[in-house]
Amino acid sequence: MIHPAAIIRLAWAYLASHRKQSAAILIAISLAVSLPIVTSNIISQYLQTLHTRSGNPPVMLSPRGSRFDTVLKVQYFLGEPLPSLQWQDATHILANKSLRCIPVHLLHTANDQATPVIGTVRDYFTVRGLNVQSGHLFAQAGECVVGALVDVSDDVIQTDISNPFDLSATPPLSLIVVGRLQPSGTPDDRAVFLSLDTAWILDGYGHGHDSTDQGTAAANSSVLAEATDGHRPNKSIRTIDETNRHKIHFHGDRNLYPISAILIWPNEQRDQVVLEGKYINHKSLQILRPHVEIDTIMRYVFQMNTILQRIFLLLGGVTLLLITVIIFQSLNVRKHDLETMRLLGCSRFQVFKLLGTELFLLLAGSVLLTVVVTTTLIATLPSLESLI
Amino acid sequence: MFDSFYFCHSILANSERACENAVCRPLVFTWRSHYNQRQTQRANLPDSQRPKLLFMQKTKPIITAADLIFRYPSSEFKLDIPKLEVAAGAQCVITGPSGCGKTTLLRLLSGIERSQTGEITIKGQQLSELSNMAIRDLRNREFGFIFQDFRLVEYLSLRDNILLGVTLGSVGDRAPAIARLDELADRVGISHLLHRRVIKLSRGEMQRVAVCRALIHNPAVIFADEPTANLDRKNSDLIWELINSEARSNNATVLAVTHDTDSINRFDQVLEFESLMKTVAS
Repeated sequence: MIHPAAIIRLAWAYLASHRKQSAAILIAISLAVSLPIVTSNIISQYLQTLHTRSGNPPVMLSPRGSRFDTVLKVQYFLGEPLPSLQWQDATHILANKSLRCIPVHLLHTANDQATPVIGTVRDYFTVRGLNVQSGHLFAQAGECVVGALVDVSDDVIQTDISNPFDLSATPPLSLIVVGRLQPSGTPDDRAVFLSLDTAWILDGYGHGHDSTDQGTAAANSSVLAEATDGHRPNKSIRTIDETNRHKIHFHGDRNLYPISAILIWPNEQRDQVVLEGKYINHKSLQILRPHVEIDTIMRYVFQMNTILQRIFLLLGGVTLLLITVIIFQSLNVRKHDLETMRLLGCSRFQVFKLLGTELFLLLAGSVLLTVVVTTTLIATLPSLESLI
Repeated sequence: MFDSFYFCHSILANSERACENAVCRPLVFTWRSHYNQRQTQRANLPDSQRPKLLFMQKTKPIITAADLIFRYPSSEFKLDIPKLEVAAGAQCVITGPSGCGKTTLLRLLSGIERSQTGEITIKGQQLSELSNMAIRDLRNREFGFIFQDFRLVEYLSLRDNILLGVTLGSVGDRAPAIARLDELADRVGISHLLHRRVIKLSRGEMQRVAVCRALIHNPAVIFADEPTANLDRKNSDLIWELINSEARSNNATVLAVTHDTDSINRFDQVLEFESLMKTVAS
């Protein structure tokens, strides 16, 4: 006669009375299963993200340096700031009618460096296929458009201070959010976009003065009073709006202003070949094919994924072995109890069923915990991905 | 009154004849004199307190053993029982000093151990003809076993301990046992502890739980292996009273072993272990 409820009750009593051991087994099993799943998921999402932009644009112009770092920074906004090229390097290419060129400026961040701030032109949204969900694209200095996943409070987003130890550095600017983009499933969802002029204001090439601030005793006695470049940044303009926009002006040669890279869409293959030929021996600039670099990165990632999966398989095997040892040890410890059951004439089948039920409950608990752990980890994937 | 003990007397007489070595004779004589003393005490009891023994003479034996020989593999100990019969419904106790082999005899009779030679018949079934599974089944359905060390499962509640054999055994329906549980627990005074775990009980309470477990399925034969060892007199009396009264009310046969000579008055049939043995090897 089978008494499932009674057997489950007995099995549960054993697990409950050994809750620490049971919890250890549950956690070991669920981690051994969920970690490979989560890792595989992260890597596949990473590869998918890499793949979506691997051929778009077909080529890009950047200062000479690490090809991987450049592609990762320009295409996915990942990694440290790149060396810059000058605006005059762009003007030659921008004048070429057979190329569609989009300059990008990637030197600033917001939200404690969590959000990249991208200076670019409005065509960027066209070539990337990005649409505005609410509001409109930036039109004037001090305005910005945010990606779908960027946190914004009071329609303002504050940029990070570029160097906290440089007293003469440009103070952070509060950007007015005039639009939000639709989700695109790309790194653009987590970025803030503004005009190149606004980006150069963040660099310190442009700024505004309040006339009352000039020549005052307070200004003259400040540590910046001895600045020799003829002008001082004015902390009173933290937000560029209608009241102070007319006061913004730029200094220096605009041709020397920095940008990070130029995204290039040649009209024809021939144009691309000509462009690559032109820069093949250039001393300070390089032409990159993002898909070539990304394919290389993807190969590395695939290899790493394979290695990780093998390691996880090994760890899973070790975990399984340890759990088997624990179960056999537990049976050994319970020898007296099992002997008692035998002495009471308990059916061997029922005793096996009791042990099987205990194992089943453990496995069911592990599956439940695995689902919870896996779901939780995958839900926090964006932050994990940003770690990569 | 003594007539009813003809069986025990005959065994004792045979035992004395057989036991010719000098080592065992003083032991047998000691127990013999103690036994006689107990019988005299029984004879002097008022009628109301005397065990009712008359039915035994006409009752068919429920347990019989013949030419039983058992040795543990790595021990010089040898159990050799030429003949043993326990009447159905009898309350029988096997007495003897500690370590003489009483527990082994009980384990043989209940089918826990198998003898090398000889035959044991219980309720008309020869154990040697039964498979291990059938013996286990018989033990589960027909026997109640009270162990000296209680053998309770520590992580289970009292309720689950008492119902353990029924839950994991071959008894078809648990309902009668569950229905009987409260009544039995109430009788032994542990009804308020049923959901507590064994680990928190006193030894007296543990043994009462063990008794409940042995009785929960109304067994035909109750084997009790030193059930009052390590218990004080009060708890010891309580346990024996419980076993005797439960067995009487259910017409179950009791086969107990004890070295507690004070408790043998409670039994209909007293067997001295040495008298059962053909020879005593150790």
